[in-house]
Amino acid sequence: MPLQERLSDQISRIDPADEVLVLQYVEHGDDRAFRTLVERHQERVFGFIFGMVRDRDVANDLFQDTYIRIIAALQKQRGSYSQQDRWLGWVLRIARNATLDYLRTRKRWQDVSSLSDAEDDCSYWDRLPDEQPPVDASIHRSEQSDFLWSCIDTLAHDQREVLLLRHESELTFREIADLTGCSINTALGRMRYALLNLRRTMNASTRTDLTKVN
Amino acid sequence: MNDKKNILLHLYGDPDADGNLRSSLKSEELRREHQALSEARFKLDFLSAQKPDPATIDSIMNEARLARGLARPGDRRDRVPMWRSRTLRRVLIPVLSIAAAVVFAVNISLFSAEPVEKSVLDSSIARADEVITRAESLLKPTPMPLGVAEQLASFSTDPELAWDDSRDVRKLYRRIESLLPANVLDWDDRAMPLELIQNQTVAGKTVQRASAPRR
Repeated sequence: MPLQERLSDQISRIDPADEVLVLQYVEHGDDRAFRTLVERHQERVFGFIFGMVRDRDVANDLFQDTYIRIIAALQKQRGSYSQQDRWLGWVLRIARNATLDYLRTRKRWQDVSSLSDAEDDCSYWDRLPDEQPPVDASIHRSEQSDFLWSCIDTLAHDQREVLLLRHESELTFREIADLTGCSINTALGRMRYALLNLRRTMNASTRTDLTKVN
Repeated sequence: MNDKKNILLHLYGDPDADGNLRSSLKSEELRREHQALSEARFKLDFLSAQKPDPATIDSIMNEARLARGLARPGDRRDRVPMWRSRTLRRVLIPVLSIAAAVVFAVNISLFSAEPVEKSVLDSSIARADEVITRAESLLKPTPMPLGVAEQLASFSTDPELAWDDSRDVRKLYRRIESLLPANVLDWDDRAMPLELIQNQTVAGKTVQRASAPRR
């Protein structure tokens, strides 16, 4: 059996580090190693993108765009990736750039469209979905998840970003600080406000729902 | 803020957390802070994991395969070197065209920019006339020296030119005449094979074949 096949078999059997898989793909063209990399972190990367854009189709496009950028970067002498870097951190950096690019273009469109109805003073409550599922232990998990997502939507951009990077992507606060270009104290401060605002929003929503029922 | 920061770090099991959580919860305010944060964090655990569509993964893998195929070192070597034709097309031809246009424009401006003065024109015409008259004088027949003319006249009157000497022809004719009596056959004799006429006497003459050995 050739050396490459033996290596591939070993990779499929054991659970190698991300860096080993990257090396397998770049040096030996092992597609299975790259698929393992993509699938291993798909929830962390896609969860962050989806949480930022809140549109499944757009999130799929951005996820694909992220990995196309990664593939192109790896072909050019591995791009900005080095083995010292954590693979997930590098991938999330590219995913974040792709997402921010999209959000900037969308914001431009929103700014243009909002000029026509500038008099509409929409509050946060108006922007919430019409049917808010109650926070109750008995409700379905997916409904609860939807409700949580809608509450996350209300957070400020930088708070939401830190929250998603911590919860969805499972980065440490130091990694978040490095990725977003701020200090660890700033990252922690944003996270703290994100959690407190989220709790407040959820409690307020529950009270509103209860008054509706009564 | 350090205690609040530490509570958050403990809440997420971050490696940067200092000491234990209990030491950070010194006051009622910090305990309330911890309660609020942990409540929100607990609720966030209900967030369902989001996964991309399998078709998206497949298209990414296609891209990865395609990129790997294109990046083979052999392909890079086999690629047609385009730089020469591109350089010719994009650099050399425009540069040469511009250079030709500049030379043409300079020539045009040299010949047409300044009006020719009348005096310059007159002098040019006078010089051209002089050149023409000199050429005409060269073309006129010049008198020959006397001896040469006589020689030429004698050549023209001599019926037998030096280069047309027929002495060789005459010599050949005389030789044929001298050989003729040895030939026994007349031009109107009946044809016969050479074997028959060998050593045969025809009309009193001995005929010898040319191929026969001489005595």
